[in-house]
Amino acid sequence: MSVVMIEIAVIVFVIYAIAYIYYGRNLLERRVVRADPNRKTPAIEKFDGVDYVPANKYVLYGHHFASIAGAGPIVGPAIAMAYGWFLPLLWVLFGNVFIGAVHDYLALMASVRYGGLSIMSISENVMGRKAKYIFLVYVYSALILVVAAFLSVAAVLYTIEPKAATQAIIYMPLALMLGVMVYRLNIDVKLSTAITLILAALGFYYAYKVPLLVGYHPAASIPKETVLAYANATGIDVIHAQLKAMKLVWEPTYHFWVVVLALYAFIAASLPVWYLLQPRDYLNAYLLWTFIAIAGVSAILVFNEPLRLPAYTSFAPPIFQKQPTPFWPAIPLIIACGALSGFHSVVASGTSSKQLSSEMDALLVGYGGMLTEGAVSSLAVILPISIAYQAPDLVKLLGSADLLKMNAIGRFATGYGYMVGEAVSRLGGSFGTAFSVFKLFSLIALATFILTTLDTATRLARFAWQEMFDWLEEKSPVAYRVIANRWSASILAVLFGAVMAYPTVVIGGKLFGAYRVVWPAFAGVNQLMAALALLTSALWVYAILRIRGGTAWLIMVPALFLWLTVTVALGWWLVVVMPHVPAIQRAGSGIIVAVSLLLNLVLIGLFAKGLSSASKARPA
Amino acid sequence: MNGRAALGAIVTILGVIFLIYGIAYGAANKKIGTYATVKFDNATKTLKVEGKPAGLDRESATLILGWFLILVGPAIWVGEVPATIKGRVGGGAQ
Repeated sequence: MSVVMIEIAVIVFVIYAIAYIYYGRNLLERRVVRADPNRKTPAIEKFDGVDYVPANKYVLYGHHFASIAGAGPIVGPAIAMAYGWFLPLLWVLFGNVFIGAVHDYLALMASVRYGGLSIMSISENVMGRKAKYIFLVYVYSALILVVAAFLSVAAVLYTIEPKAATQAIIYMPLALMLGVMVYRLNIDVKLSTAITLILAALGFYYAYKVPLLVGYHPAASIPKETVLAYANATGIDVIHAQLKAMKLVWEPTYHFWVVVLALYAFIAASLPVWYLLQPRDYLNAYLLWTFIAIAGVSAILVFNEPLRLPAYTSFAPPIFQKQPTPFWPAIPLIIACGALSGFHSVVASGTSSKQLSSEMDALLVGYGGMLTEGAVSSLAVILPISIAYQAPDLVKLLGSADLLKMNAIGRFATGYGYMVGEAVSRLGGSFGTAFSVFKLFSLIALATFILTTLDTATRLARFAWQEMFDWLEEKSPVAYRVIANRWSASILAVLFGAVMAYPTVVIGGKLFGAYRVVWPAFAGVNQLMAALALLTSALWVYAILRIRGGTAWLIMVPALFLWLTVTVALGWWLVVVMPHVPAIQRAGSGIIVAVSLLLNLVLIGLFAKGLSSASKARPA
Repeated sequence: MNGRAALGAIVTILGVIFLIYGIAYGAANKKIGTYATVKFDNATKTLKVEGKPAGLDRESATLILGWFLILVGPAIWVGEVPATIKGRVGGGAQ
């Protein structure tokens, strides 16, 4: 008997509800952190009108989710479907409830208790000063890589899909307008929201019809026959002829967008949060909930659809560089944001902790935000792909429905489009039309979060830079103000990112932003950050909050499990995967992973020292 | 209105005009900017781009400039923290 959609959807929903109430609220909020509605948060206590600004909890939830999401909860699980649907779903649920959401919530609350400091700086209190600076330099480097990657991804997207550029150009001013209406003109929030949402819907329609073309547009401009004629006449092979044409028409457009987006990231990361970030993320929350609500309603309507993808295919299917990739320890390198991600702790203890109005809002923002990511991974990615795989209606429409042969984004968009299309057809609508409309909608939802992650990562890099130079503040306030003011710290982050995104390199016969040379190392770097952040949080709970017994181990054991898993995974990656990575990427990413492993050993030593001295202290 | 606010107002208004111009142009022409095509020149055995000159079109440049002006204009114009936010922190101490 095959498993049907609704059975798994109900199990997922029940697990998240229980986790939120019992693990999140009763255990973490009440017994571990002891959140206090009367304790002033940094947003109130250190209010500066720029970064420390209290936000409505739903706005902050939207900001936190949009910043931590990016493409992460979608791409990773879609790739992991090579294991079948059961193991990825198991990892998303287990990782989400016991590791990812705990990691995000504790990083947020630890930061709130330390005046909005990042989790890297908090490590000083439990692991010593050395740990703080090692951690800060490590995370700053990772954030620069994120800025470079998102500059490049957005620039490529706007180059190959100019309608996405139109949408971004329209969306940002609307968010600004909403902020002005609510904060300046004191127009009712509901009315302002309604006006903005109507204009945003019109903007989506306009963007769907009108592409924004800058430089040369390659999709319409490199006919195959031209490439073949050029290759025949000059004697070079077709791949190189295509590359020449791409260099001629693709590169100028790409370069233009990298510069424009770098300028945007600089401005958006330097401006006060209430001006653009908060209203924009408030709008993002609507888009997000529309996306999830459509998935939820569709899941109910197609309740009896069978999961056609096998539950289990293999423990080690070919994933990284087509090498057999064992589920353990490699899974955290494949599924990041859907289960856990180090970047989240930097967001939680960076922008989110500085905008939290009350400690009681943290559970929704930190724990709830992470569970929502897991819900996106399971309900909007894993289940839709599983029912769409070899679905008869899809075979009829596309000729083939082997989703495992598509790339990750293609699997996700096709799965989502299929699930909604089936739901619409059961209501009497056209499957084909609904499929193509909602496939596009899923891609627009994905693209909207890219700029959010870009400017949030730039702002976080600014914070990390400022904390790295905190020792200078007392010694030479003038030098500190020059090096670490918000404008210089932002421009440096953007410049470092742009330097890695602007040049192009050829990898496997295709053009990419230069950051791709070291990108294969990012998954490992990011998850090592998660392990170190969770160890720091666990030690904060043990040493500072003085929590002991089973409750302390409920946090310590997952933290040590994650550390062990990621450490073994990085070793496995160096030995098994790295030799098969293209030569141009091998040295850069290999060195980064090796250095990460070394730093990791230093930090685990400092953790052990911190744990040992905390154990000697009397429990509360 | 002081000098800073006046400058912010001018920047914002220019931004709105540029943005509306770009959007209206797009609505009328179904695209903002122009497509180009790569051609093979048999005489010189090279690839050439036809259909538009290198660089930005006036319309796309205007739209993007308007976008940036709108991003920064209101910040200069109404720079200080709104009273609605200050109220939440009990008057606020910037």
